[in-house]
Amino acid sequence: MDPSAWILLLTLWLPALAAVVLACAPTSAERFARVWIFLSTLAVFVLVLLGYLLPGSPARFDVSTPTLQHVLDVPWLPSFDIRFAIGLDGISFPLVVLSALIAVLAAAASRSITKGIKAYGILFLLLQTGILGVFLAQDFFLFYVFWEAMLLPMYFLIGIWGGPRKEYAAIKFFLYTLVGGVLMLVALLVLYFQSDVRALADSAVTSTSAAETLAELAVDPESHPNLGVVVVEDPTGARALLIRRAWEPERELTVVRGVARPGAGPVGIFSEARGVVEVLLPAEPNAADLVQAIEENPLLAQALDAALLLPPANGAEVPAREIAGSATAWLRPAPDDVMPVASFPPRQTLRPIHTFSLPLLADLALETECFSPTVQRWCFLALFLGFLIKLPGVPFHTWLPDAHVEAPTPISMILAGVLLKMGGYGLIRVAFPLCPFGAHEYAWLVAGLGIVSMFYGALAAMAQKDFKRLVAYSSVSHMGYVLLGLGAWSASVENGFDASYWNMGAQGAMFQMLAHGISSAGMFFVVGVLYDRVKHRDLDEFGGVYGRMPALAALAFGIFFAGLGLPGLCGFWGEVFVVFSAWKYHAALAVAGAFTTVLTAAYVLTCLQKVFLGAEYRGPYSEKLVPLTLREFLIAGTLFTLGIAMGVAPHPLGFRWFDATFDRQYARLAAWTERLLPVYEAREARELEAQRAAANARAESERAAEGLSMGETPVDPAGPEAPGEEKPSDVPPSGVAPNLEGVQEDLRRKADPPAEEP
Amino acid sequence: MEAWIPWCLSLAVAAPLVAFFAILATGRALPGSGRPGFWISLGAILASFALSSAAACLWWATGDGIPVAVQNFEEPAAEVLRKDGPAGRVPAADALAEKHGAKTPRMLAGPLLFFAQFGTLRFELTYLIDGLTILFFPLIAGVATCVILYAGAYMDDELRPVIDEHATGEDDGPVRRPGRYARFFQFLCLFCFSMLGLVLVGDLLGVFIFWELVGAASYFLIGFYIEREAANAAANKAFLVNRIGDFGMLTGIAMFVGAFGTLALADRAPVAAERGVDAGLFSQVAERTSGASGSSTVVAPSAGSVEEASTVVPGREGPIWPFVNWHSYLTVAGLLLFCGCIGKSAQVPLHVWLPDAMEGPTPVSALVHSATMVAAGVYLLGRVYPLLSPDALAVIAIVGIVTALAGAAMATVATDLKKALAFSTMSQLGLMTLSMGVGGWFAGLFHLATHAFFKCLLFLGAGAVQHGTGTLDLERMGGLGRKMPLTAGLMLIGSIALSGLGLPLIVLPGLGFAGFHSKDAILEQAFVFAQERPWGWILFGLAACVGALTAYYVARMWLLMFLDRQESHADADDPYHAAPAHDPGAAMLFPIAVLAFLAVVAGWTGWQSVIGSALAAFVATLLFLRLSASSAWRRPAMAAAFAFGGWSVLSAAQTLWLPDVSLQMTLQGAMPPDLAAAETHAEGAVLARAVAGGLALLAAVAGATLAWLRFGRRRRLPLLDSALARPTRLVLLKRLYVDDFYRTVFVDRYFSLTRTAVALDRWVFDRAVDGIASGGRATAQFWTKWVDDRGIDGGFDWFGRATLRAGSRLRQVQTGSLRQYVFFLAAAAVALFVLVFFFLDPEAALDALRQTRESR
Repeated sequence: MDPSAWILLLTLWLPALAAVVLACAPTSAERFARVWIFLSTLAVFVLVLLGYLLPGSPARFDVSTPTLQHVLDVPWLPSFDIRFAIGLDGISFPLVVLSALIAVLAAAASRSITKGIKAYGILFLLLQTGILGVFLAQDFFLFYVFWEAMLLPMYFLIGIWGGPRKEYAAIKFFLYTLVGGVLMLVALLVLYFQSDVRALADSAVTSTSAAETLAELAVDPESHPNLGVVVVEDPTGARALLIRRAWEPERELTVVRGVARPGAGPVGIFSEARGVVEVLLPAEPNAADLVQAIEENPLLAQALDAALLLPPANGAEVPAREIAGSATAWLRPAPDDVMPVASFPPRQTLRPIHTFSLPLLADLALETECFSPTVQRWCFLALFLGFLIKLPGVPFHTWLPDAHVEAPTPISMILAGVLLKMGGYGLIRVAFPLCPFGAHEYAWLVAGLGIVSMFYGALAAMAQKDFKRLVAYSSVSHMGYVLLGLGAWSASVENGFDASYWNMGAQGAMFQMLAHGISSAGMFFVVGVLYDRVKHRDLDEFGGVYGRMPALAALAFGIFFAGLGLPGLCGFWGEVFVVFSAWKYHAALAVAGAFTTVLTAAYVLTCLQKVFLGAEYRGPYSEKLVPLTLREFLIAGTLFTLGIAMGVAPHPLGFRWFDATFDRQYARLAAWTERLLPVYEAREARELEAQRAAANARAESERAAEGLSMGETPVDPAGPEAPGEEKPSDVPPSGVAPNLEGVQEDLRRKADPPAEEP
Repeated sequence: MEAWIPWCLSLAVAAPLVAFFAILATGRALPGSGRPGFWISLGAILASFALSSAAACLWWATGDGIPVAVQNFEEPAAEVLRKDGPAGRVPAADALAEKHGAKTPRMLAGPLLFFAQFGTLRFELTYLIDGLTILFFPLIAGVATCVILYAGAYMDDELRPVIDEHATGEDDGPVRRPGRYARFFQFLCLFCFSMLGLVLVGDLLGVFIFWELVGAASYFLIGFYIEREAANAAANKAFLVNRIGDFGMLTGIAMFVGAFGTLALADRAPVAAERGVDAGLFSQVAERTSGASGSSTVVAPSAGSVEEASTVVPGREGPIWPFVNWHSYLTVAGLLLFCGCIGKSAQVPLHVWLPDAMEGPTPVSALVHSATMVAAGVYLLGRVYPLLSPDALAVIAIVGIVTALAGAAMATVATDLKKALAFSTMSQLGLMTLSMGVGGWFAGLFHLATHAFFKCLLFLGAGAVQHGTGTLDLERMGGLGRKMPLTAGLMLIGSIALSGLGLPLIVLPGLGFAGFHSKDAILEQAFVFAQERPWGWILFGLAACVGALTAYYVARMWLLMFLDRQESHADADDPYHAAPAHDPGAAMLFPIAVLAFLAVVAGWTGWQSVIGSALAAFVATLLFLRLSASSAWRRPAMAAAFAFGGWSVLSAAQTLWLPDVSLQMTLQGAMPPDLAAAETHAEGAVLARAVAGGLALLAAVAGATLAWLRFGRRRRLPLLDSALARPTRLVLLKRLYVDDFYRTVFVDRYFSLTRTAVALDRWVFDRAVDGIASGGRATAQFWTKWVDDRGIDGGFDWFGRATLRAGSRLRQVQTGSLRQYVFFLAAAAVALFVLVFFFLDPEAALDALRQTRESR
């Protein structure tokens, strides 16, 4: 196996291994447990830094590559084509780094945990593996498994080590997130059973980005038997992407090169610009349908000759470039003219090939019409709801304050710093690319809930008496920007179509997630430091802490101002780019988004004033209010420094890492909007038309029947059969109705199992 | 050479930041109870000043002589063409502009720091250096140097543990705390950094960044006495009110980026031949507003061309929802940008933070009210002037005059010296905004610059008074002129400058202090504006009123402080009278003196400079030589006099040989092109100048005379001391009830809204979730009880019991009696016989059997 895969695997499983080791240690070795947790998280962090950032490392993360890197893809449950696929791209990598970092800091902050440190450590480390797994997984099912797996350690961490109402908080957290998980599972299964990789094989020949994605899978034929994709690299550097007729998996994939006679070889297109030969291979070179296809397209045959740089049949020299040029010209058909390379047998007779692979599902959604509007709508809603709960967005946010208030400080740091990001990550990685039509339809909902969350969180934060609750509500408010930034992308077609603005909003949302990871972890840590000393969090009992703990006050001002979105600190960029992007979507959203900055300032300043400023500290345990220890100073100082650094240099410490990936994803979404959205809309319109026609027909016939019965004329040929016969199913054009029916059937079929499974 | 200018200025910006972090990092570890903090910050700001001056020298040295627009400045203008000039005049102006070669002002633009790129949208921090920048850099750094120098002495208390009597600690006693000398300078450095950065950057995003940083720095400085509730509240208020303005500004910026795809003001260095992404906002907006013609950078559009302007964004097709055309779009965007200025420059209705901000230490007030913070708003207006549409400018003018009036009115009754000065600042800023609104780009910024000097001077003087007397209450002061002669003299200079009086009132009407020139320019502009717009006369009249009020409140202030008041000396137990007031030390006086000098000369150009400088040098030397007679003052006075005199001579010499280096000339060179063109070709505005200038002077004299009569001569004036004036006075003292209005209408609403949110969470969302949970539990319990226990279990139990019961019933049949069994057997046989014979058809049965076999 590739060394980069080892690094990837190690990143993922190192915490779990450390947890196993810890499990073997005696319970009495508390000191060992503490040090061990810290060292293992530190090891993961160092591994992430060295493994992905060190020049020359085999797994070095290349920022200019927009696609997945260092993919490890092995079969896991082959009967359903569930694969253990992990990999990195610009969306997951920054979050992996963030979670590794926050884990180190949280482990260092775990000093305040006194009971059951061994069990705590085991759960803590398992939690980290779960989180990393979510960010690394490239298989939807694997993603779901990690998503749920991470839930249990968190439940116990809150439920055992939490505050007075820990049971309530833990159960609430668990149930909320579980509901989200179940919804995701429903969508997961629907999408799985709707997916059909063959659709991709048809269009991959013409579509650039699909070919890229397939190449991105970087799989060998053995490891991907159903798909039949092979990427052949020429010594000259030309890449050939070969796609087998995938619906005949029992046949072997033979890469035939060098034979390009019409009727005797592979079908392919040479794209000069990309230097890619895309070839559709039959298992047997003489497959009749392919011969026919090539003969019908002599240009293609010529292109193939040219592409494979073979002398033509009669031995005459044909200038390769010329033919290639003509081939590219041929390649540029009208968008709806999907290239009939070979006349495939009608699909209904063949078994569909389902997949859980996230890149493939995204390809299917973005390049083909595999997922019908209805499927996309419902799946998007289910996925969105699932991620919204995690994010959290109003009105599914009430688990957050309780969980935060009850959770111990390090867990709060992880919860706010990393766990909430999984919601946003899911939206970016799963919900939007897999259901673009649904996302387009419900973009207003996403953006609207974002605004509501921002406002609501800010308002509720202002009214809190509990310091930690205030910080928790601030998270609701800040994560609203993520929703707004993502939601503002889709429908901007009406406001002047420019994908750059979508891109800006989405990247702003991504940056906001990273920045919030830093600032909210810092805020919770500040709360924890104070709580450790004075054992209360009542804002009204605080005041004048500056005089007693000036270093903490300075760091807290920095961190809270970062949360407030002060320029020069990390919170600024997410807010500002999201607001800019929202303007393109809807002016009111931008205005509301910008106004939230006022509300944010209000509660942050009030909170700082109540805690740090004022004459002197008069609350309980005044004598315990001692200055920061070095350990605390280093934790808060790290977050403070990062907050400033990310604010001053947003590109090297933020945008640079996910720029390329987002550019590609949003270029693809933009292309989808231009190319496939009208198709879907036309389809919808047709269906609507059909329904209306059917309804009309029914009404007419009913009226006719009624008229007849009133007129007491006994015989009419059309009358009796019309109401019962369900005419409408005949009306829609073929190709639409069956598909839709299939979808509904599938929906019906698959809606049941998930409800029982968890 | 020219390439060094950005470097110099960038370093000038960076120096205070470095100092900030240096003090932040060393903090309490500094020896000498934090005194090095002062030296660090002084060094940084001096470095900034030196670098700014160097950049200015380079600028003048590398420029191609005097800018075109400047040469004819002395020629008065009759027809000043402004943005809203009638349509017919545009071509003429075009032609004129071409003839005179009016060109875009000299600008240096380039990138500083890259932020992000999304598709075609590129965001980076850029610098934009033109005359405005060149002027403001030394101005800010210079004023800041004076303030820091002054604060070094003023904040001496902070070197030792402080007993703060304004804060209530334990047992309602004063709070004891360690001194925070170094911290003060740390935040002062941050403040200077933000302001210098604001002036340097050339894109709206950068402007917004530094804009907010200025706000944050002011938050820390206003709330410097963190033990005092009032200071904390004032700091919060300042920040929040500013944020409200910034909210509008951010939206405005979003509008610009949404329509033009860039935020850079100037074009990017290699300008694309056709205006593409590289075109900055200035050129894009000019193109938009002027229709197709490319030569429109000279004169802004007429109403007609605006209407014709297309309704789609270039390169970004689609309607610019919800605006009908570019004119309205730009108006709204410009006004939203202006919202930021309303907040920062304390314009109505966001002026409420300014008086409260006096809670900060006096040097902070001096800095906030002169070259930084409040100056930022007017500066920004000047910077983005070409982006503002005529309608937006009209609104700006109205906001300006309202602010000017309100501020001046409130200043006339204020009893706290610093608050009176704060209201005066507000009023002056209103005048500047008005000037911007009526097309007086030059006049507004000119006044901003001169105002920086004398307002800073007045605040530092107020600090000196407070230092000497321990109070700021005007009502309790009086007779300080004898005790603090130097302070009184210097503040007199500042007061005259602020009131806009000419120095030798009649003899040399052109030779006034700085404020005379700049205020004159504003009124002149309003006058010109009024000649074209009938409603402009209202503006002009009100502006003249503001001039009169200004002279009145300034004179009142000075007279209350420094003039003897017989009746107020009665109560001897007043601590104020117990401690004899005295002039502060040289370390505090010197910066004030420098500012006084600047307040005198800043407005001069040409021959005024020569005469004025000589005069000032002479007066200064005389004054200081006389002062140095007392031995304690010898050395500082000598040094100051030399510096002062030398500077004057230098300034005079410079005016002779380098006429375009003065404040006015530099500003002229930076004028937006259309205005510059208009200025150049304005003819016959002699009348305007004379009338406006005369009226302004008249108003000032009238105001000052009134104050003199009332406070100097103690006359009861019929109008001002009547019973009718009392309610007015009360309303003014209550700050027109604006604060109360906001509290009841917005703040209280806001708090009730926050409580609603919490209640909603607790009673709706949580209830729903808990309800679902308990519903689930109830369902489970129901299921367990009724379905599992009673239903399924019960069913099985019943079945078991029933089987048992049936068994035991059946058991009764098993009697073991043979006879009974035989009877049953016989009965069964009979029954079968009957069944077969009477009910079964054997043929049919056989048929069925056969069929089955066949089918096999």
